[in-house]
Amino acid sequence: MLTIENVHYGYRKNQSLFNGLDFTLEPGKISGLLGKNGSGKSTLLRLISGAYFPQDGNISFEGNPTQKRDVETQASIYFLQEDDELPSYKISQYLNFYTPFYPEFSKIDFNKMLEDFEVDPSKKIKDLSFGQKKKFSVAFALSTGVKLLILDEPTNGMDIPSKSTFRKAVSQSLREDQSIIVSTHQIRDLGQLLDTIIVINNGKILLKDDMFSLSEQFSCSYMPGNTPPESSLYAEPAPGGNIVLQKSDGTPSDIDIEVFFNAIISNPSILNQ
Amino acid sequence: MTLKLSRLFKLLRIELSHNFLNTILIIGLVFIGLTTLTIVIEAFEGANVEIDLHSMFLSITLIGGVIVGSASFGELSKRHTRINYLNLPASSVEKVLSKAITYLLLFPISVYLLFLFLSMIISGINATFLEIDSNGKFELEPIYMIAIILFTISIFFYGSVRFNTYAFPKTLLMALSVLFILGGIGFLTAYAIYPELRAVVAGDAPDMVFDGGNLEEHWVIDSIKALYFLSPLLFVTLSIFCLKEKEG
Repeated sequence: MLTIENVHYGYRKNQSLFNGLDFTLEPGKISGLLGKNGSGKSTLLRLISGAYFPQDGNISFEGNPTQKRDVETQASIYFLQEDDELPSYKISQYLNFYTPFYPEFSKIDFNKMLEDFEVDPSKKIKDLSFGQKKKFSVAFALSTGVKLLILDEPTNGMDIPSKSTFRKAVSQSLREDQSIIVSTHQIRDLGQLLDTIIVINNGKILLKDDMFSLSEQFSCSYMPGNTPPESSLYAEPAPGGNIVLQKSDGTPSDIDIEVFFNAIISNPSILNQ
Repeated sequence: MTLKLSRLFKLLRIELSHNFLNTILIIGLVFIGLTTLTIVIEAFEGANVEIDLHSMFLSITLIGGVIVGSASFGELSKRHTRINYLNLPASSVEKVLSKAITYLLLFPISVYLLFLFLSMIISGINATFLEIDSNGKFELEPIYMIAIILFTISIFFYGSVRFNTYAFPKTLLMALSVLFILGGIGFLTAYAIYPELRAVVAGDAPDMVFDGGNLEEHWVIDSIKALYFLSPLLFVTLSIFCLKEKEG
């Protein structure tokens, strides 16, 4: 389990990014980390991975502070960065050099994913296009078999079929003892995949809740006409009408995460209604 | 801090396959550059072209050593590669040792073997390199030469961990500051220990040359020499702690 307790962090003195973040991530779930640009999503992922150290508070994975970077803890965590920079090896060389650091790495899963992503395994990494590099990195990350997988904007640069392949690969690779945390702007692409969403705003956790629970509390629907109903909590213009967020009667219903995110960012009091 | 040999070998494989090849390239470029420079200078002076392998060895190992030392932790110079390197499941001891073996041991040994090979080409199969020359052509004893080389590379090696960007100029500045301070301390120590130096400074012995060669050994001087020889170990240890505390 990942535990984040009262974490404070800022790049400069007197300019804090996080003021006491608290949350936990349970195994067996895929969590989406959402926030506006500059809200600190990538920074939080770096803190979780152990690459950055909190100025106050504690981040631990299975009881071990990640900032200590113990080898055993590091071998349980894999952090895929956005725009990852890779060495100029052949794919096979890269595997030879880096898979020994991850004892649970599955070459079978990796080869299957490369095949699904249509990436030629005989190529040099530097000869791959941006999107193909991304697919290679994602395939490697998902094959490491680590207990905590951190993915920062994993679908950036991927074409539409690859995003679908990515969703399939993530949902198939998740084990009961594994947690995946995904930061993304492309929420519509990944919304179906998430069990939990975490929203950061103004240095705090604005929301951490299960998708199922949210779908019982809120519903999104398209309503034709210029004026949204009075009962709507939030409305976004759509062609010929509005997409409207409303309180639900407790029956699980579809929820458009992008609309929901925009709603709670513009008016956080919605969560208390 | 853990040290597991199997992980150290895994890291060494990465170093030798990728980064060390760049190091060999640097040696080659410095060698070609210095040879060309020597030939051009001697041609302008109208002298016979004579390449002094010993001087060239020292120059290449020092110049090359400064370059490879500064670049030894190249992964730390960019944020993305720095985070990947810091998150790689190996301890700081293993990471620093894999680099130290490559750049503080294998680099000078490789240059030595290159020059031994060149000596053999020039003087025949029985040629040796870096032995005390009976003709006095090469004045530095090999052990001091190795100490100078390791001292220099290890300072820049440490600088490469210490400074993420512009490691070379920053380390140079740091090294000069340290040398300035140590030089001052050394002078004051020698002033306190040797009456000859006090006489020279006071102007009481205008004919006396104080060059260190005519002085009796003293335990303080011996300790400073020992520290000098131990400095690579010191810098490697400092590098381990520095890497352990490094953030992405």
